[in-house]
Amino acid sequence: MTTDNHVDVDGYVDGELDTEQSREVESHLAGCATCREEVNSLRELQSYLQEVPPEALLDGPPADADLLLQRTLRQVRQESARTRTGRGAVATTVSIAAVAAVLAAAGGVLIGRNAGPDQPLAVPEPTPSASSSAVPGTRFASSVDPSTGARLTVRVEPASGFVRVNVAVTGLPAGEPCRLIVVGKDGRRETAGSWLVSEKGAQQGTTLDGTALIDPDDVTAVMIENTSGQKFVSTPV
Amino acid sequence: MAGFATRRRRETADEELVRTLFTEHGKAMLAYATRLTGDRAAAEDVVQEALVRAWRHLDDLGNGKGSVRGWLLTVVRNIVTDRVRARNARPAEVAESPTTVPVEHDHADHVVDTMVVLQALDRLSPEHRVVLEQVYLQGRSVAEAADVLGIPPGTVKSRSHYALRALREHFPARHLGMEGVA
Repeated sequence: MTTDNHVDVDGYVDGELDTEQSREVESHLAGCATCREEVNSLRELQSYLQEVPPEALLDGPPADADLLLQRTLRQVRQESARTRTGRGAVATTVSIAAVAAVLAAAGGVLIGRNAGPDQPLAVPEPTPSASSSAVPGTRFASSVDPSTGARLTVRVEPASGFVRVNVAVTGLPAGEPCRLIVVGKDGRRETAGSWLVSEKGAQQGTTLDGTALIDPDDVTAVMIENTSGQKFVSTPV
Repeated sequence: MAGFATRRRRETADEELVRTLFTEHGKAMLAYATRLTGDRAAAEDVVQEALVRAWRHLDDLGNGKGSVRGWLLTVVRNIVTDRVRARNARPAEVAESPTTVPVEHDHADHVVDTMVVLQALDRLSPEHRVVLEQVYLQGRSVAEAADVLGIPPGTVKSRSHYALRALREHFPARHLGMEGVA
């Protein structure tokens, strides 16, 4: 850390310094942009953290709330019945794919928060079944790279002049800064997203959504590589 | 009938989704809603609506846009906020107890914040995450956190300093650095 030798930024940010010490830090900050930025950035993070409600740490179902669950399920049943008669079969197929994707994502996030890696984990995956095309022309593909062992499952959904992609990828090493890349017919590459592979992402897989400005008809492949260009897995679509 | 099997499958999947969300997040949602509304019955209504919204907006809730829990808690807060606003907008309704709910004027920012923070926390090592949860989310003092975690206060401090910087590494760049030195 470049600020290590300057002043006690952490103590200052935590409000642990006495008046005299604080004054010293402040006079240093006045002349040191690096420390000033560090203080601002740490304070900003603190304020983000403080905004998260403590209830976010509670897990599991609420006690004595079975009636609430039953009521909610009933409302969902009724609404889905209405949707079915109103909008017909298209809505049905959309829902299957989306529900499956969310279930996978919910499972991944949640199990990830509390459970150790020894627990069976649902690897998030889009559902690449033929019946679940949300949008006409939606394509599914999946590949395993034999050398890295990474597995990529993708859903490519056409939009007007671009594509939405939903991917589930497993087998990436933790700590890798990765990019999700959509490749076009002419070899053009568009980054549809980038992220850092977490420990949990490495263990359980990661799902990502992205978009790429490539004509749906021109998309030939989707791939994952790290920021230095090393390819982990690619799948033709 | 060709559609029948599909229909059955969807209903099962819908219910499974809602049940999963409830089982995983219900406690957090209901506790938060109860604190905001100060009323368990009202809180249950809010949770029900939030779960139904989650089911209607699967695409928003899903992968990549933030943690599911962040989404759900934010929606809980937005529903409470909207209800308070709607009630306040209604003229001449008497016998209404003054609400204690802090009304946010712009909830769009918070949607991003809670989701982004929870997602970034998920990426930390358990040691780092737990310290930040104690100190910032639970608002515990260093001494209290040390007691809860069974580690020396000095370790709480140093770990929270490292953890805060680790958290920064997992924060999308667009959410930081806009602080301006106001």
